[in-house]
Amino acid sequence: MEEQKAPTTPIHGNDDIIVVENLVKYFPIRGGFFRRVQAHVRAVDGVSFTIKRGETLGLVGESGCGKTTTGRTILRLIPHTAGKVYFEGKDIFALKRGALKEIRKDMQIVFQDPYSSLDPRIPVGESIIEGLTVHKIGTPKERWEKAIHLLRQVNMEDFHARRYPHEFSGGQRQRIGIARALALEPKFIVADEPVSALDVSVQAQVLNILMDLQEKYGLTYLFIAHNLSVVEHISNRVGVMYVGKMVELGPREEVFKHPLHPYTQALMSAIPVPDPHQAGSRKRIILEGDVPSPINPPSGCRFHPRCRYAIKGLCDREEPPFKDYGDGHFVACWLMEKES
Amino acid sequence: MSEKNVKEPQVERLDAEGLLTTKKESQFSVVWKRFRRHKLALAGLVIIIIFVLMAIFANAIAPYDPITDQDPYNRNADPSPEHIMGTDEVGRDVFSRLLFAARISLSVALVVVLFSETIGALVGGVSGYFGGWVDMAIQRFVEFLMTLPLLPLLLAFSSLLQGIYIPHIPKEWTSVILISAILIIFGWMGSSRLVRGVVLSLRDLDFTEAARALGMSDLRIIVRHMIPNAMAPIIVDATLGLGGVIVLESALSFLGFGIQPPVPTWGNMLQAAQSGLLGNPVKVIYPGLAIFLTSLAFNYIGDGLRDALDPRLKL
Amino acid sequence: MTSYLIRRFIQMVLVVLLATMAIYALLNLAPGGPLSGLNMTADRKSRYSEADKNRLEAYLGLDKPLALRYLAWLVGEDWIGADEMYLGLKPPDGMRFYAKPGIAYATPGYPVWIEGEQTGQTDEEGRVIIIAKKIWLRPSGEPPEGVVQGLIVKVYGHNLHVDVKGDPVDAWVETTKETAWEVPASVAPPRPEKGPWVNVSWLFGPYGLLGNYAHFHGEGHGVARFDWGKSWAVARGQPISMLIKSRLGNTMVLMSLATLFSLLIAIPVGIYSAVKQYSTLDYFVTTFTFFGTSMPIFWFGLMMILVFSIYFKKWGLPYLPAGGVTSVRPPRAGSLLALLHATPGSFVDRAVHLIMPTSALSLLYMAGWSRYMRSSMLEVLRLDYVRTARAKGLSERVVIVKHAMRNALIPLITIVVFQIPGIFGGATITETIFSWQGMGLLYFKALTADDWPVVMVLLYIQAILVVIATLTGDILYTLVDPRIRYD
Repeated sequence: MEEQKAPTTPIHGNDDIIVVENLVKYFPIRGGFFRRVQAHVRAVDGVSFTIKRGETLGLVGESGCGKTTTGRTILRLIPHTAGKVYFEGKDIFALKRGALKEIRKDMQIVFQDPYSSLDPRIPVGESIIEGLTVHKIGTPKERWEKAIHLLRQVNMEDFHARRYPHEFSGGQRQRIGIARALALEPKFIVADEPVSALDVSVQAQVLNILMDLQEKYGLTYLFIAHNLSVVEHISNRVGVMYVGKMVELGPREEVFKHPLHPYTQALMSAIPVPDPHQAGSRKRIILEGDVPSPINPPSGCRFHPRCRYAIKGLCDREEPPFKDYGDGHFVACWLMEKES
Repeated sequence: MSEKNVKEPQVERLDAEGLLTTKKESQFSVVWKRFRRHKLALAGLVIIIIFVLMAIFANAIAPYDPITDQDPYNRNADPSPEHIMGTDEVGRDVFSRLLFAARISLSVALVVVLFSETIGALVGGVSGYFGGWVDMAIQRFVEFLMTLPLLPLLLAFSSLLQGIYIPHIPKEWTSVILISAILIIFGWMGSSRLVRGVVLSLRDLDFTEAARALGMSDLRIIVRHMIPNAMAPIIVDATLGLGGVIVLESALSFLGFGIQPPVPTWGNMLQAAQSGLLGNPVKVIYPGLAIFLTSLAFNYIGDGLRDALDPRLKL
Repeated sequence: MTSYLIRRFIQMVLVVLLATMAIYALLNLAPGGPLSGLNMTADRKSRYSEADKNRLEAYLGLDKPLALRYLAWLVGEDWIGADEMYLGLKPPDGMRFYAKPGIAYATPGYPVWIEGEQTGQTDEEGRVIIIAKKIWLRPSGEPPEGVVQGLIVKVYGHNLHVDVKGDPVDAWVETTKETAWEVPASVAPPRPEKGPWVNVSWLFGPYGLLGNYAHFHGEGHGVARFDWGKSWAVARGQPISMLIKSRLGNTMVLMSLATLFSLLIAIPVGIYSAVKQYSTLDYFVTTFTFFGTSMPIFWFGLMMILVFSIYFKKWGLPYLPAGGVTSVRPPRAGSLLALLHATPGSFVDRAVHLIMPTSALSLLYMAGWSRYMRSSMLEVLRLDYVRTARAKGLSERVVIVKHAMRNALIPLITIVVFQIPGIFGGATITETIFSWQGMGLLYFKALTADDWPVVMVLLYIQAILVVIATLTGDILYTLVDPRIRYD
């Protein structure tokens, strides 16, 4: 494990609802005769960022780059390996059982797979009010009223409350999942690829609901996706991850229009362009090789084996610093360091 | 189910109340509705109900005492109005014995299945939920137990434990208790594997993660999400297990290593009938038929329940 | 793959060891364990002297701690107290141990002469302590001058408790390395010529690491060294290996025939029933499997005897023999055997005797296996590649035989492989009903007669076979299914 560098990002502003400092999550791999730990999957390997109140931070990257793990570790759904996460100034990982339960009300999650995120044996209405029951909020009648209210918020009917998950389509289930997440009136929601499993026509519906709700309740989202168009549609700021590392983070316009990291540039060039006349003006960058294994990531900059601009002796030896190169546009690349 | 839905949603309060009060009984009736469509399972249920009633009211139905009413001058008699299934080798009424045997065989099966499913569910639940080295150790142990050949071991153990005396228990009942205990000891592994599998698959599903995100404790997640979801396979397994245990217990009793006479069971009645096979062959039919019908009925009920309990099936 | 095989082999040995330990411990520790009957006779103190009782205990190994008794059962007792060892390559007598005349041969209940100096001291129990210079075990003829004559009551490590002849006070005889021993050749046979012999007295010998139990020198080689001991009751005194040899053939014939028939019928029936799901035949097959799996084999067997032996005879039809492997007497008129002119012991005679047990067993297997085959095939038929094959326009026959069946048959490996222990171990219930002289019936008889050595050997063989079957199954899977890889 290389030396963790001091966090470079945290600008502890008052409007930062989430501050992530050097988050690390390794999964042990066991094997051999005695099932000893033989290696680690370095799913998240030192990621730092902040999320401002009321904004949507989009997190993109190829599958397996650690986006989902980041989201779940922030919510402390899976134990972390190292690093810190602050929610409204409170250290999430240091919370005791009771305080953690309290703070869960403020942080919720919407899952990717609408088919496994609802208990098949419980009517969806009950799933929605489950959080209220756990936290003993309101009388049973009030809870059901809330369930109906929430169902309407996500454009569903009252009587749906008594139906079972298998009676709904994927998009409907996803909306029920959103209603469940909203029941506790959280401030922050991790949306873990909420539309990836849906048909394109349904995706827009769900995205619009998410955006309406954000406006209505002043929600903050960490929006995880691998679909760049979706992220562009919903995010204020965008972070790009590659093999457990954050390589670029900045305002949406900046990242999409002026990507600085070679990996982001390659990603952006792959977005289909709606206007065929424009298509010719852009060159598609095709990356060579495969995504490296997070078990044994490349030394130095993790992107260097596939990078066209890799500098021998530097990029393959030392890890580039993750630095702000103006207007909150962070990049981890030696090229930028050289230029400035 | 839909009469409430038709109402206009203008009065929210009423709907909330409606949702509050009408949810419970529906789940059972849904399962029942689905189960009813499986005709053979329904027939199985009827057979079992009849057998259970006959076992419960054996005292009232049986014309003779199964053990003490011996008629030495009327041994191995053919069916007659006094003895509708004839008498056995010491002149006891076969029909009465069959009724009391149902009592023993069914209650042994019930007790064994209840205990082994509970033990199995607990072991499997712990193993699946906690994982890690606990799971490793338990699984190796279960695999090891499952490696051992079942029938030879059951025979060996009941043979060993014969002639054991348990204080405060009537002598003729010791073998009933011992056989139940042995069947439990060697019977829980299958259900523990089943429950572990279910728990493992549930643990990785997003709805348990969602429950954790809502602030639910582990215990509450197990009670509210894991157990109800694991219940369906457990119920099916238990029903099929009832048939299996009836046959297994009968097999042990038949070989002379199970429940010992004079306590009547279908298995030891069959054994007695076998030794008199040349003299009065027909009596082989009754106890065997009882074993076969019960086991078949439980198998069909299990099959029907498997379909009825599947939440993904529509009405 | 090699490292995987090595690992699996080590695991296999461990599992068998654990299984034998568990079986041995449970059978021996269970209240009223296997020796309860013998314990009872041994407890009748009025008839046995203490020395006799100890001798019986020593003979049965009851005076050894459980762990040592288990070891003796597993790897023999000839090494206990041995001074030298010979290692050969042939399994049955590959490993030989030799004990010099010494404490190893001291057995309670036998006469002994002791020459030694009396220390004049007594122990806590008032026994005179003697330090022995020379000891004669089971001596004959005239005793030399000055020896103490007596009877060994019990052996404690290197010391003997001796009941001195003509003296109410017993003696406590202590032996040392310098003690000389005289043991008749019939008790301590001379060392065999074969060599080279290795000195192991430092480990097993009377003054070695395990010296405290050095007086247990026996002849058994232990089950792990293919010496399966002798039967107690089923065939008293006969080697168990002989017993097994005489039954194994019968069992293998019955089991392999039943397995073969069942497979030959269950596979096509299961496949056909899956392909034509919900057809009349499928309905018939599912009903049959339900009946077959619920059917208690012992009842089915009895019903077969009832119909084909008893009622057929009554009705004057050619009836079948009710049991046995061959007939003893020439067949009676009217039986199927007589009709076929079968002489006792002939091929036809044996074949006719096989009919009922084989069909009963086959029915049992067939029901389970065709159900298994059907669901396996149904699963495969639902897969996309089968649909693709159909969509390509391949004929139904090609789709079923070339694409679906191949993969549906893979799970069958488990079934066939787990028949291996059965083929050697037999089917206890079926063999009992049809008095088929096979391994299953042997096991049943051994249990009824409390013949525990036989019971334990049969369980031991079963455990080994099951483990081998598991390993074979895993290896076959890797060969057949390219998705499974071990390294």
